[in-house]
Amino acid sequence: MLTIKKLSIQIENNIILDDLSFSIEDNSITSIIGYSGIGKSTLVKAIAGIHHFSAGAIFYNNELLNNTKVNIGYAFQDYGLYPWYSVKKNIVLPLQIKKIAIDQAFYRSILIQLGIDHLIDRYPSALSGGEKQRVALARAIILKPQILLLDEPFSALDTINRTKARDLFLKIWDEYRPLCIFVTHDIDEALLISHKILILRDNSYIQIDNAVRGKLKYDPEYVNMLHSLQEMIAGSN
Amino acid sequence: MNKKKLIVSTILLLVMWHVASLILNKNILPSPLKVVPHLLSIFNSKLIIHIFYSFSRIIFGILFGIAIGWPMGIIVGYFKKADDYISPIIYFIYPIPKIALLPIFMLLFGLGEFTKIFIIFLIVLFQIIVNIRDCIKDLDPTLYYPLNALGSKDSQIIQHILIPASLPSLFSSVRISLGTSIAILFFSETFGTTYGLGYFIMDSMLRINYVEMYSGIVVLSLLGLFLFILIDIISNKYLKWQ
Repeated sequence: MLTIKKLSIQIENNIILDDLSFSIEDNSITSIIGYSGIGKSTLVKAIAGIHHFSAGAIFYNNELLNNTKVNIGYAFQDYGLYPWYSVKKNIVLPLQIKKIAIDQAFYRSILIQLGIDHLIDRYPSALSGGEKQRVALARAIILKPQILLLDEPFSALDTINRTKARDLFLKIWDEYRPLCIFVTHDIDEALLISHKILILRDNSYIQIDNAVRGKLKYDPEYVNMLHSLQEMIAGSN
Repeated sequence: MNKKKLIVSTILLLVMWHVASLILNKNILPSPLKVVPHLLSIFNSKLIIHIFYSFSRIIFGILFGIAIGWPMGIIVGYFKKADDYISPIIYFIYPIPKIALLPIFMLLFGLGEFTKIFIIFLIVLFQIIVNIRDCIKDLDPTLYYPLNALGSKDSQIIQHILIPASLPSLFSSVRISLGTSIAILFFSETFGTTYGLGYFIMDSMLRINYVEMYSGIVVLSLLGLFLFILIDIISNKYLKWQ
């Protein structure tokens, strides 16, 4: 379980997040939603150990979270691929950093499921946005991480490819069900994917259970939930 | 460099040279029709040993410059403390024309090979340190995020980010410093040696053998061209991703 206690993040005298506490269970997906600039990505970066925080603590299974000990997979919004490395080298880089031998069967299955097995010798500059996004996803899961962080991974895709990528992600996630945090600005995406939703607002936050996960988009319950989420984000609820 | 264009521009240069020699009509500017056949006739018997010496000096100077300058540029660019202490020293030494330091090195190290290689090394060294340092400092901070999230060590950041990201700057530094290096090489070969293209050209001039002198000048410029092409080939091999 990932537990965040009284977390505050300040960047150059601006308070980005203040006194944030919540916990996320293993084998679940939590979406973080909220307006642009509210601190969604900053929060995820703090969990990954990229951003330092000014107060509070992050625990994983009752121990302070340390990214040298816990494997964290991270798919970045701008992909974060290294232009000088081939697709293959980019994907297996986390294994090299963590000094873990490559699981060839798992590696092959990721490549095939994501449809990038024919791209492994290319450089990122020769890939489309959608291909880069799939490579970034492959790199995030190659470690079979305990914590999987996805920062708007499908934002660069058109509607059709977005739905495809989302279904594919859920299929891959279901195989070993890591604790996953999913940043999105798309409320529909949050409702379709996640078990819990964390709504970040100015000076406050709400964590709710997603009771409509798996329901159809036109189900009355789904529509009600969508409306109440919209109100919560706007801060009127 | 395009092969066809290279041939065309070489022919154009030779024609211009030939016309100039006809207009001037003096021994001081012999026609390429005299120089090129002479060059070919003395290439194996006389020139090759001088080319070997000049080439070795410049290559060793550049390689030592890379070996010291590349890691130093990375360290100064990445580690704030190193930048605070080392950059002021670099700023102090970098603007000094290195040729002005030659008398000091001659007195310190003598007139031998070491001084000649050392002066080329210095020219390349500072160009590389400054360029690599600036390149590292200009890197987008988000480039570090994927490795930071994996809890990677500084050594891994150097291996997977700083070395490959600074490679284009390394090649451009070597290219930029190559012209100055050849000029300095020529100058340093005019004393304390009987080998090298600088010696060969000056010796031919003193013997009033202008055809031979021009042969040396042509070979020196071809050496520069060869080195530029060599750098292009190596950089194309290692910068395929660009």
